[in-house]
Amino acid sequence: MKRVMVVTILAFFTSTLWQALAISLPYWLNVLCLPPLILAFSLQFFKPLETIGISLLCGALCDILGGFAVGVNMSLMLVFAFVFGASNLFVGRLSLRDLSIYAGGLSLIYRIIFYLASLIASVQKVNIFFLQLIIGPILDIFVGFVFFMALSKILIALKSFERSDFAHYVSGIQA
Amino acid sequence: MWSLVERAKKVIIALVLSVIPLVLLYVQSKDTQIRSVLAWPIIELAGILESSALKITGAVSDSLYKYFFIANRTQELLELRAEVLETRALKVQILDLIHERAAILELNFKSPDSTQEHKREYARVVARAGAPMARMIRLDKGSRHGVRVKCPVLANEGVVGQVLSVAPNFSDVLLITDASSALEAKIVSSAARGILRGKSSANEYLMEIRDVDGMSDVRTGDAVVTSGVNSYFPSGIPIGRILEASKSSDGLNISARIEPFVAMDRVSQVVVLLGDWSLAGGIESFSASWPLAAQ
Repeated sequence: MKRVMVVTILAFFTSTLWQALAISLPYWLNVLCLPPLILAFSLQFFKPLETIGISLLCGALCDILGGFAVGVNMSLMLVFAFVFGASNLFVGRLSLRDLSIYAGGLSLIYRIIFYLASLIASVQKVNIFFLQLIIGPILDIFVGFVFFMALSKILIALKSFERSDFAHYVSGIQA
Repeated sequence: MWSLVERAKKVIIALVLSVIPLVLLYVQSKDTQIRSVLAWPIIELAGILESSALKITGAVSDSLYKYFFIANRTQELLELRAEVLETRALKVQILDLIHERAAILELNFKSPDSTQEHKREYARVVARAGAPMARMIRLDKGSRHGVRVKCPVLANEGVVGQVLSVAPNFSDVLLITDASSALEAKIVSSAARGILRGKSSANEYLMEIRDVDGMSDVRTGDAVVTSGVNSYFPSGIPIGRILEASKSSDGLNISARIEPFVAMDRVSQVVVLLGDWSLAGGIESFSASWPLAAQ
């Protein structure tokens, strides 16, 4: 539960900070999508029930802060948690750099599914931006790198993880 | 039986938790006000953080400005530049004040009966959400200031959007240029009505008006205003200008692309109309306030 709350709080701070920065940032950089980053991390390091909890809390957070109906990102994150939960069996533990790239790929798929779902649900044309599908995942890789590093350090500091859990992860950082 | 439940406990919990989003979506489809109830603590907290972040980024950019433009100058140049900068800042402040005063005077319209002035609240934009073009902005005024869900939000140039969620001190506004935004609008020159929806592209804020009577005379450059029908907006508030119009294949309907009067990426101060403005008279009562609407 502690880990779920830590991830949710950090996601909240990241999201609000990015929204405040959006006033000063060039519009083409305003394409951060947090749910895939959170999913990539939680699928790697957390138990399935924790991932579901994170999907619900962070999904609700992203829905509220993004102006969507509460439940849209929650549902999508849950679907991704179930579907991509199995992918970890094949990829195993990733280093920080590889995890960021994995998050970028996940972000691209997430965005495409999100737009398709919006297109079907709203019956009318939605604002689909190819810029978001190209720049978005690349930005997510860079933000993900910082986000994962901050999250791992906070979790270790709060003793929510044994340092050994992150041994491979940390060695990945050094590599 | 009990041991089976005990073994499958985690699966049952996961399934129960997975139903939550669907329940939430169903509840919101029945009552749109529910979203505000769920969202207000988050919006409130986010608003506080974003206001603080805005102050910090402002201070940082000011410091950087000072560093890059003044740090390496001689004392004399430093003093002169400081003086010039101060004068410029004062000039900008004066211009801002003049502009703000003009905006307030322009927005300071009255109800048709002129006996009761409708309430409004001036607010500052503290955050933008949406990618890459903002689909929502956050204001520093909330339910404590009388802001309610669906309250119209205007800028000096015209319609900005409608309140989506409200917290005690902050509120979220869905921009009129977002695809999920819809409003009945009127083309001033022909008085033809249609449904206006957001249709922003990758790099510009746009809208589209549909279902306009095919017999109407719709031209490029015509101003579009709120119709006041089936909406929380009073009639006659400028929305935008027609960029191009096209008839349907059967010639019965016209649809047109519209460019908003408000620069959505630069809007920093807005006014929220409080109370019920939908009954506040026709275009005549507002055309004097917004010269564009009368064009």
